[in-house]
Amino acid sequence: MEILKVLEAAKRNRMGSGIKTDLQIGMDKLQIIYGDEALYNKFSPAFRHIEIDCCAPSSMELSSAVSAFSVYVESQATFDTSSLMKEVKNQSGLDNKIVTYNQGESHLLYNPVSGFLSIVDMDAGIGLYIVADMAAIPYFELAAPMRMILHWWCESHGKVLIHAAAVGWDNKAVLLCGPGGSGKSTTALLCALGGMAYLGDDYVVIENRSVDGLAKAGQKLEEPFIISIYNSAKFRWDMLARIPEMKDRHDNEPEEDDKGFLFLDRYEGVEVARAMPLKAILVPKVALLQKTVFSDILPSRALLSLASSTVFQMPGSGQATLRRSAEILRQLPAYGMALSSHNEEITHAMKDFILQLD
Amino acid sequence: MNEKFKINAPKVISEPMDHEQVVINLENGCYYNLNESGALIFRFIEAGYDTEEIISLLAKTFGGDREKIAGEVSGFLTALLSEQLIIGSESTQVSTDIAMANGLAAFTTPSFEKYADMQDMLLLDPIHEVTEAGWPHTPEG
Repeated sequence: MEILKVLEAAKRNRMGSGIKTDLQIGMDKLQIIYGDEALYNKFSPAFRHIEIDCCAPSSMELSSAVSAFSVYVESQATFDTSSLMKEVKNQSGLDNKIVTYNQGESHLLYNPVSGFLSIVDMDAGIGLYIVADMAAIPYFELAAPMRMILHWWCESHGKVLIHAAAVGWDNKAVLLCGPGGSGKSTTALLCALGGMAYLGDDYVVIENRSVDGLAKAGQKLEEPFIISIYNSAKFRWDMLARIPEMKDRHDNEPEEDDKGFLFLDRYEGVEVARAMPLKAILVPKVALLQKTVFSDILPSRALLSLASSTVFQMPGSGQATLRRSAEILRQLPAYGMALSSHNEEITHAMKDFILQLD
Repeated sequence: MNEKFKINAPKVISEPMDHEQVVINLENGCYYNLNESGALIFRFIEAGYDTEEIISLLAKTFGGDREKIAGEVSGFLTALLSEQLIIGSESTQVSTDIAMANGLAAFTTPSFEKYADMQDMLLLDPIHEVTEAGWPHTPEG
């Protein structure tokens, strides 16, 4: 298969060179090898909080020993991708269609808007993330790189990558889900600045873990955990008026991009957590109330909010993502959350709400 | 006229949630929440029952006026067809692996809520599936 040849060529091209980082994603490890320092500087900050020293004993009791999967991050300057890019551009055509290919354990996605090409073969344990133009990297690729590669990797490791935000308090996490503009990213950012644990504002991973202490004879109990993959937080520029402490703290500029973003792992006073038990699903709604109001909602409504945006953001994820999302929702309570217009009130309401969750 | 339908897969994906059914049309970006009676009919279609069989099953399970049930089923199927969630089927296969009444106490008018707020995302990023020829594959000519 041609995909495998391309991946093996990328592996040969690196042959011990490049900048290696190891990431701890839940119970598993993943290695990223950047073709040069420029690529490392652009794409590694989003993962800084989950980087580990591969040679040191792991703090994760049950984690696997060594990563069996490596992602090569390359640009035109570090790996000759000209014939490869020509092929996908032909497939994309003049109308700039996204190109997807899924066969067995091989997957490909080319996004003509960003020019990024993501390829994996899970059996070979190789991923390749190709940056078309280092001078024109969209902000969302810096804030949340390699989404599709991580999605495929999660699928083959019993996890699910979902389009949602997550925050925690008292070692209990909640998921905030809904389409763009529902208030999930802003709520997550306010909670992080208000002293709560931050796990992500756009994409997080859910992993089921065995709960030995509660297991009955012959019965394996599992508990869902939220796993953080990106420490970045995105915000609309007009939010700077609402959150003045963010001024001069963002990692891009208004004239460069539609939205601002910043890496929260180096933001003083903010705790970016790697993992936390998931206790509830919240579907926020901008309501401009005096006080934030939580209400029971039908699980089907929560599934629509959780799954629809994930399915459409991850081409090819389809039925499997919908099924996994439904499985998660069958384990957890779901609530609507009508947001107030007061920053501190939202954080206090969230803390109080999470404290009373089982 | 007795007709038979099937779910318009793989363009349409769905999942039961409690007694309702979440349905997503991947092609046009619309997604739906089918109420309990609608979800039951959807699962009968999935199982391979034709229209007459669905009406008979509902009348037998819940009682009531068969003509009224037939009218409501017909209207619901027309709506599902117009949303391209189901298409005509020639298959003769019928699955017996289905919880018939689905814990439903009564049959009410089947309906769905439709959401279209994901359409913009899809129109911006039309998905192009590569053909069976695989990839890389340079188009002829």
